[in-house]
Amino acid sequence: MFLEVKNISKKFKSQQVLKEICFDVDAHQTLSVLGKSGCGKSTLLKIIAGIETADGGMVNLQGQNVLALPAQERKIVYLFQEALLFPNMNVFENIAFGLKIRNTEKHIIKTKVKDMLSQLELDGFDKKMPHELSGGQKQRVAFGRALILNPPLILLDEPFSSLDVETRSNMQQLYKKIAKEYQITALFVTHDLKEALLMGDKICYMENGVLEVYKDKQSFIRSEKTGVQNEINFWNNL
Amino acid sequence: MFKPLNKTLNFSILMLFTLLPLLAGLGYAIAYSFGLVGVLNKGFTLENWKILFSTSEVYISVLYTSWLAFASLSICIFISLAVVLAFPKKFKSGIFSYLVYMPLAFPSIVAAFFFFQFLSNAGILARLCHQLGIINQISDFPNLVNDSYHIGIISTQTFLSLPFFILLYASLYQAEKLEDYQKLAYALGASKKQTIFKISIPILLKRSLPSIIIYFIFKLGSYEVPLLLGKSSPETISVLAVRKLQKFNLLDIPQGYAIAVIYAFLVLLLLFIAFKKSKHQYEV
Repeated sequence: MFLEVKNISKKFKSQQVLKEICFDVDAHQTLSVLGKSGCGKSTLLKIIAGIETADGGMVNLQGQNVLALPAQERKIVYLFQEALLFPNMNVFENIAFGLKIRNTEKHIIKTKVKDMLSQLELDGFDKKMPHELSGGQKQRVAFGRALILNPPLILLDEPFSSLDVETRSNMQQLYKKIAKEYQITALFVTHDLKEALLMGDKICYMENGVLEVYKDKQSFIRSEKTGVQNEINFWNNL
Repeated sequence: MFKPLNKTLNFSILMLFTLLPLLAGLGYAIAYSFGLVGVLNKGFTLENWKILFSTSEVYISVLYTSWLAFASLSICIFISLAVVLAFPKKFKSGIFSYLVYMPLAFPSIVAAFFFFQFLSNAGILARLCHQLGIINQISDFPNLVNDSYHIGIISTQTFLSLPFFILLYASLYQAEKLEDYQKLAYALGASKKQTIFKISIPILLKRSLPSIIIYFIFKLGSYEVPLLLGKSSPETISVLAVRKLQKFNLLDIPQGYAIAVIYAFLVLLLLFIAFKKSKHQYEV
């Protein structure tokens, strides 16, 4: 198994945020994590990324328990809800950041960033500063900055939640295309039912710190608590 | 219908109480320096400006004032960045959030007297060193006020500026979501050192640049601290201008005004740069 999460628990003061979370993800697959705001989705991603500590449990990535490792040694990239482009750097420098800190040679950085900009349909934007970009463009740069490192695992924390409907749809398509091309393994957290179905190869649902993994999309759709049946009924009764 | 009237009235009040006195003062200073007004002046002349620039006094004074402001601000920015990055949440509440305000309560003149008492070669620090056996006699202690290296002035200026910059960086740390940027940098593989030097410090410096320039202007105009703790030569612009305006030789007064004009134009130039720099500061 590429990613194996076992019995992860987390308590903030008296509140149990995560309760014995267990799931696994195959290589080159995207697992959608659906849940309402405050159910513990982001905390789970942050624990896997190493930004937050777990009270107990295990996270095995490619056979290695990474829970004891600091964030920078896990080779897992966490994408926040906001694009968080470094405001002191232009688009080129933002995408090149991960390569630069790894002392990659200049000509390799230049070629890789140029290719990435082209993939993201951002040709000619390399000199632009973050404040000169739209919301969708910022998210694309944030994607590029993560993808260029070719990380074994990407964690996406509601990355499109602040975008308008059309841009969101474009970004979802772009993600699908890039995920296929770069053979990405990812956890995609969202509170949007449709987005969870669209983006994930596998889907799980989180409620009050408890995660339920569905073996396929059909069982997810059939489940009462995911809200899919309510949605179908709404459209049928319209 | 009333909106344009309100706008005009607001602008008039602003002009009357802020810009008008400044412009009137600047106009008077320019006129005085060119001999157009003043009891001893006899009409338009460039003589006062020629005398002023015929010696190195003004050049040295401008450089000296800028150096003092630059040195104290650099030390202050360095310390405040280090403090805020080491203890980012300490200044939100609790004892630190009160302590940091303390130096703000000291007027410049009080702080200057305090540092005079503390750093002079018969002062508190000298006596402390003597008691601890570090020096044999109190007079062995190096003179840190009215000294050639301007240690007294720079220390006092740093002490007075420190709370402003600590509070500025502490609030920018929160407002700019620096913690998120740091976490992101770690997730992208950056070490703690790389995160500090490539992300945290550049972001804070970029955001605070207009404030740094404005504070630099404020420091250029400081008077009491260099007057009390500085040497008699060189003098800062303010000290030099006041000496020319108020002391001994009445024929020096137009030169005092000329120095004030130079200072005013230097300030306006820096303000122009500060406003230009701040134009896109908060558009991310």
